[in-house]
Amino acid sequence: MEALLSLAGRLPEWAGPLLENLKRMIGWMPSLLKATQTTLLLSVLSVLTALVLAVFLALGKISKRKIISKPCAAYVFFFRGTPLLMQLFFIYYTLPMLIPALNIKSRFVAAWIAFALNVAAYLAEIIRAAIQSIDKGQLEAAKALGMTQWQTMRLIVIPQAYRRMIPPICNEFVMVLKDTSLVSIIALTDLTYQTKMIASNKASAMVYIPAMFIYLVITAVFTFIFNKLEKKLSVYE
Amino acid sequence: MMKKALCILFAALFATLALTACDNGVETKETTTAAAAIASPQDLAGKKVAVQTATTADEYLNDLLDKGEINFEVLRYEKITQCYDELKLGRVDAILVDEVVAANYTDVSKIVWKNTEGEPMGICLQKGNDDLTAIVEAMVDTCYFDGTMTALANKYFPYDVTEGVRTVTEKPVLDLTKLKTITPGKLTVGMEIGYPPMEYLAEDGVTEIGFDVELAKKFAELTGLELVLKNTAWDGIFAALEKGEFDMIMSAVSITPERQGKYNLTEPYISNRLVLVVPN
Repeated sequence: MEALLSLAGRLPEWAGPLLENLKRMIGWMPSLLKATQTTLLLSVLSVLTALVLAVFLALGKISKRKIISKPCAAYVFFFRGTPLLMQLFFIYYTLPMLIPALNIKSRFVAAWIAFALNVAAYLAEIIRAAIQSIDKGQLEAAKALGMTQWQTMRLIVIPQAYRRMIPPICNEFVMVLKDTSLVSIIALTDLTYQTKMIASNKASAMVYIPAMFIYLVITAVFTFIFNKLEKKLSVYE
Repeated sequence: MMKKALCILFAALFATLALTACDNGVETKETTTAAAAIASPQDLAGKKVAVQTATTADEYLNDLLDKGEINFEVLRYEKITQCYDELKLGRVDAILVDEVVAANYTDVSKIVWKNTEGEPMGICLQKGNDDLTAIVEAMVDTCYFDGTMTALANKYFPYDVTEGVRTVTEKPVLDLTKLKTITPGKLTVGMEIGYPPMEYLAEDGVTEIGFDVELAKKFAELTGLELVLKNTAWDGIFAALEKGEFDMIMSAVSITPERQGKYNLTEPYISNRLVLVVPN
């Protein structure tokens, strides 16, 4: 420690405030990291829930029956066509004012529902595109071999399609992770909320540096995982 | 093999997240229905309290939490109107807010505690802008002298906010020779529009109305300048003043020693104090 201090004495003038700021940033880390848990949990839970929803939506949209495909298309149209922030406000404030039974007490659950519904629309399009990207000739060949529609889906289409989904889903996940910063507006203690609290109460804009760094680290880790996954799965292509 | 490893990795990540999040206030905490029991900030233990970010109410609760005697959850919103939405929906137990605002929300809430320490409001200018500060002081005096202030106060508040604030018996001298604003010919005023009844928007969603708005109009009239209102988020309003984006903040700024140290604050123009409100 003393060695460090003596080193500080020899540093140029501008280094003093820089070290001071660095010390403050490190001091904020525990509270920022605690808030990061909410950010991470919300992103992961939302994407996982949305994936389940999206599979049904995508299959519904592809369906030849209009009674199934039309509502699915309308869902995607609505959630892709309105801003996520407004959807969040709608679910959290407007709905309970209209229908008191839909008053969601937990801000986390409200945010989770809003994100899952929104992300599902985007993921549904990704899944639909991946399924439809499989060459028609393969489907005809499967039919010629006497496979049922379900067999074709299970043995021919899905094994090829889900490899193609990985990169866009990764992309979507990274987007969701950053979009979760919107929940700070309903006072949910995520990384952005905590950052803004420190910025306004301690009157220091420096806090944005460690906060952005944390976002960057998380996206880097997830991009790495998804890249590995993609390489592993595309081995047969 | 890889698939299994990844599955385990994700499962582990997920489990850790779920476990760590539990003590993070994420899980549903039912708002306690015994809101009637709140009679002072000391009764807030274990409750949820909403405040607007970076206001004196926010600081008050922070200080209370720092003392460590009681523990409660503070929910900070960017707009006071959001706090009232939460109260209406029963998601928070109480709001700590300026009395001037609370007095206008008596249809949905009631005041259960008033801070004994007053927190009157002043007009905030850049540090060292003494010429303009003196002019603003003289203008406030003028408004008190000619009855404008009383008329405005009666229009916007159900109780007398001017009582004991200023007594002006002689006609104030308004010396405009040293008048200098950041944009010549214009009086630029910063305010956080969305703080009824101090400054907010009329039903049409574009017309600024409110106590401070009308007072600013009067100031423009007295100085002969064109009024420009700059709507700024509350948590950035002082930074914007320092950057020189407007001549003054007229936005229900409570006078605190800390703010007096950093900025030029006028003497009080209306009285105010922090109050605690609960649902009706």
